[in-house]
Amino acid sequence: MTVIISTCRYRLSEEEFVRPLAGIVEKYGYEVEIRNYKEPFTEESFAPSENVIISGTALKDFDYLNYLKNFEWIKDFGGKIIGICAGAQIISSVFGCRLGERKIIGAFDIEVKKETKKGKRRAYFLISKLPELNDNFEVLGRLDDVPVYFKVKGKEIYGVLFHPEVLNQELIVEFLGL
Amino acid sequence: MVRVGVLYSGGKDSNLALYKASSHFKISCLINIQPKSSESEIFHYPTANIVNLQAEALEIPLVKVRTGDREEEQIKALYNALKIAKEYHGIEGVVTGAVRSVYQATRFQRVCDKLDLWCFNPLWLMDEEKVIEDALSSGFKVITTRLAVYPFNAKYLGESLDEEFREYLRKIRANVVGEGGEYETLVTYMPLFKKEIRVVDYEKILGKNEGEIIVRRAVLG
Repeated sequence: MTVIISTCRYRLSEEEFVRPLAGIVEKYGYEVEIRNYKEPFTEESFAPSENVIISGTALKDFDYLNYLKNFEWIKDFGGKIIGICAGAQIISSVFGCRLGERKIIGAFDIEVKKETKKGKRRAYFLISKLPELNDNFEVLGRLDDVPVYFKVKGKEIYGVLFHPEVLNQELIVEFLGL
Repeated sequence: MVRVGVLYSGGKDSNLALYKASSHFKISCLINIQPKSSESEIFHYPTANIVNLQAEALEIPLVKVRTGDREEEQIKALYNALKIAKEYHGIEGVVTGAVRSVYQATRFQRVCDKLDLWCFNPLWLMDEEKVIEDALSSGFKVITTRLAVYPFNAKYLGESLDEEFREYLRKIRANVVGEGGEYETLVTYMPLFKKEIRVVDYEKILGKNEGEIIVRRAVLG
């Protein structure tokens, strides 16, 4: 089972940011459950064997930042999580990072330093708040000097500031261990 | 309820985006950008005045802006059109029919951001054949208005977007949803239309590997 937590304030945005993710997971024969950021989750809400994807949302949507307390369970979660854009902002915020204002919209070349596929890859960005990463994080990829792909040290918790469902779908497939 | 404008070319994608958005938001206006030629990568080539008839059928106000062929002109036209829609129709967001083009989506997102508007792309990354299936199963009536593929077959111009046409595209390995400009469509009816559009007279303009129809006369009802 893969759980996708929608960070979308409006249902119509889920067509753009959640449906494509669910489609990728289902394509590989896995079940998907879609939850919402307003639900008061705890660490018991998810089985450690479940993969959790925290979606992105529209550029103007920041409502999820009002519900960070619903994501405190991330700190104690033993399973795998990937946060995409808004999801990555949530993960970094839970681990004490500040979000700085900077817009990146469009496709740009990033440099991936670690994980299975090193090297340059084109990535699609739609973001206006960038986490200022602290020592809890290891940087896996950058856009120039900006960390855009990272993981929590010692955990299988990843953050990507770009949208791998648009370009780099294999990154999601790798995350799911498919 | 959020008030939105829909970027509207009159084809299947923008109509399906409109249809999906209509159950979530108040559709305050349609926004149509008309490029001079069929080469635009951002906007679909218009079937000129048919969009007026579609807006009439939908009973939704239309903001219509013309643009040149250069990218800067098209971005400026989009900006101006959305600004008008924001000022005169009070839109807070824009709905587009973008399916897969990162180039197109990026430009829409940047202009919306400049104007502090929400941007919704309900067809984004949708399976290409599903776009057509959703439209047809929802009761859309769609005809082809322009075809630019190899090998070109003029018999599919001005005809329904049916299974035979899709099979032809699959056979020649063309993009079935037509987002790469392989073909353009015109929706003559969908469930939000109060009346159906009837194309009474049209002319086929044929080139070497492309062709289009010029609608001479169309009526409502």
